[in-house]
Amino acid sequence: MLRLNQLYKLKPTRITSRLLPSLRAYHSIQHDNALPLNSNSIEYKILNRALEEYTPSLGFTDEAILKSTRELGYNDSIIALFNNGSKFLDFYLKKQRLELLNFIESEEFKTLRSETDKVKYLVKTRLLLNAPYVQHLNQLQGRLIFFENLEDSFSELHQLADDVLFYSGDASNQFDWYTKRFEVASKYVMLETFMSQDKSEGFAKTLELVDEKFAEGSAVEETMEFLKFNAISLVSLIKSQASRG
Amino acid sequence: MSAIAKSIPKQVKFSTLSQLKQHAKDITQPTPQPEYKFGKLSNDQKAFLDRVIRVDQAGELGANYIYAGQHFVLSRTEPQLKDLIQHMWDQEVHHHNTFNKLQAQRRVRPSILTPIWKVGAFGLGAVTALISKEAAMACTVAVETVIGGHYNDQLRVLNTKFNDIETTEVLSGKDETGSVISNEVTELKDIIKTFRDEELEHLDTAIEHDAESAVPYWLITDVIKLTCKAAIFTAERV
Repeated sequence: MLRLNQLYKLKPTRITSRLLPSLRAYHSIQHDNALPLNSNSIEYKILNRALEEYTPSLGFTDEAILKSTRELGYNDSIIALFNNGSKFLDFYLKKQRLELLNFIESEEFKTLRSETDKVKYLVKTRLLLNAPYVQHLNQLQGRLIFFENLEDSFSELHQLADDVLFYSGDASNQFDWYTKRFEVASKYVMLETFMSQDKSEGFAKTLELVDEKFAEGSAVEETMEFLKFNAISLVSLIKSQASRG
Repeated sequence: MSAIAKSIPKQVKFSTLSQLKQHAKDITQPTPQPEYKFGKLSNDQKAFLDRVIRVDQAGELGANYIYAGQHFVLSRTEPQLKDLIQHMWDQEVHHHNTFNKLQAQRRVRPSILTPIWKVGAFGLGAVTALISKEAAMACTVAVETVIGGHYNDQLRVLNTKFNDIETTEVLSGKDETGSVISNEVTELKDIIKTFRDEELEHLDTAIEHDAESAVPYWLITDVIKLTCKAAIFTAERV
């Protein structure tokens, strides 16, 4: 029997899957949607323990994983599973992103009305989830831009922006879909970098900066405004030149 | 008298109102709908739905702008056609909005080339309308032929390749794989069916309005058909 992908070429093409590896395929409303982490797997148990017990003091290091592995009674060689610790970083990003699912059920989130307020709330929430690991944020960011981690970390960054916007009720249908995600992602990276140096009580300055950054009006609207203004100016210029003869 | 009253069974009611109420209650309480639990879609199925929604959204966006372009020109040159174009345009706007909603709800990435589709489609509509009213109709014929066939291809896959999803009835735990399909899929099928029929109506309308007397008909339609197919190929992917 013909398989579905033979009948209709279904596999994401190589080009799109290389260039846009992160893009989530189709979110079902009735069928099960698989979460990217399986909390019953050994890998999850080891990394989760390392994250909760040892990372705050040791950072995102092999040592943290090793301690957790030994404590759970596994052989040291299992550490090979984690791809020189790259898996650990990816795990951290995925886990914190999935945490947002709990926050969108909260009373506070449900009282928010505007999309901007929701985006701000979710970005602040995600930033504060970094709080226990804040002294290792620089190390984390530094390793995320290593070449071997780049694909995964960009993918996660996109997923984070996509989640934040989807939960906030974003319904953009055209090119603004891309610009909005790019905007949230780039602002998030900037804010996280700021947070890693923030010594204020309860990261008050970072939270203040979130309000400031997301209050500026969206990049899309500003770009469109800019283009429209220039288009009108151009027409006026041509008219004025033409009328001079 | 009391003996008669006692002989009446207890439950009997003489008030018409209460009887009507009971009747209404019987009607408004529907038999409970069976609930189903649907298993995961396979990666291939997801990738397919992802593409379907993206390409159809982009296609309807294009159709919307083609009619906008035709309307822009024809409402000035051939005012008698204004209402006809407007009617078809309105239908396309509705199609486009429907797919927009689906795209946002199912978290499908829209085509990254939307600005190009818009400019291209408006230009195609306006240029063919500038050549002549027949050329505009020939353009409609070409576009709607391709879209009709494209929707049929999608329906064929939706009908045949979505019957193997694990499905169980929640209460009895009975396995209903293959016999019950989720609304999510049937709804999409219905939408595509309706839209295909409307697109083919546009095709008939265009032929009634002398599309075939456009000169050179074969050249216009074949070039546009080829362009549409290339656009579909691209919009599915990027």
